[in-house]
Amino acid sequence: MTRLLRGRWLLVALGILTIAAAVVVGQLAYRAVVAAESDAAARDGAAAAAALTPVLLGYDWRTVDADAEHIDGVTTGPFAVQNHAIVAGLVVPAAVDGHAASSATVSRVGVVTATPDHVETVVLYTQTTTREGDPAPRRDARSARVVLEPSPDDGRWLVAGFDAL
Amino acid sequence: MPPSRTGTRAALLLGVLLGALVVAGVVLAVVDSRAAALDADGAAAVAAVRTYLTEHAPAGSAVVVRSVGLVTLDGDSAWVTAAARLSEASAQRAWRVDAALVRRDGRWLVGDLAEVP
Repeated sequence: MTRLLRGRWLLVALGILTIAAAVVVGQLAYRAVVAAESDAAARDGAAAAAALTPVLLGYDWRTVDADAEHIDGVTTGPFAVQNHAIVAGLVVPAAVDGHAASSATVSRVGVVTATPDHVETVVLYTQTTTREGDPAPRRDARSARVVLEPSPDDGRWLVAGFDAL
Repeated sequence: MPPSRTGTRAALLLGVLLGALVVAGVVLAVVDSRAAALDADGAAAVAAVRTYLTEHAPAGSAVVVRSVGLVTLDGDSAWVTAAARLSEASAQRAWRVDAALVRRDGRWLVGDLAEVP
């Protein structure tokens, strides 16, 4: 009877220990997955910032409607709505009126923070603008905080925020 | 099957499961500590550049660091880029820099700082 009781206590103790170990391993596994996903997000987000900043800032008065569609295609979230309003209300009319064009060349991208679904970067770029009547293209060295988030549709990294610094 | 034999088998099964979980836990703990160390290295390198920029501003000028980002981190070396505003006399201008860092005695030191044109 005593031996049977001792055996049951052993089983109970082993069961409790196993459950506790499973909880700890589960938490560690979750952290490992998040860390790996954050690393991948930092890499992919930085690459997306380098690729999408020129799209976001690029237009030519001769192709400005198509350029505005491209710009809409690389933005997401509330920023997409705000940026669409700015592009449609200010950038397109100004580009057409002034026969203007803009392009950007990214020289550096640094990752400020990265989580699996949100990456903040600092982007250094040169913006070149031309306007009818200007003697030469204007080149400005600029920097911006560019936030990227995955598209809810296909997971592509898109611009979710852009602030000139 | 006698109850004692069933209990023995259950105890054996739980023991094996517990052993496997302990091994998995040790492996995952090592992975977790490496990831945490990498995160801490990145944060320390960025903080070192932020401090360097504000404490080593050119004479007669002041620096406001707007954003600092990690470009690469590889062992004991890191590359960081920063966007700042440099105030000189009454003028202000954008100051964009690249910083190469090395880790010596556990501290991240700015080895080279260059303005990005």
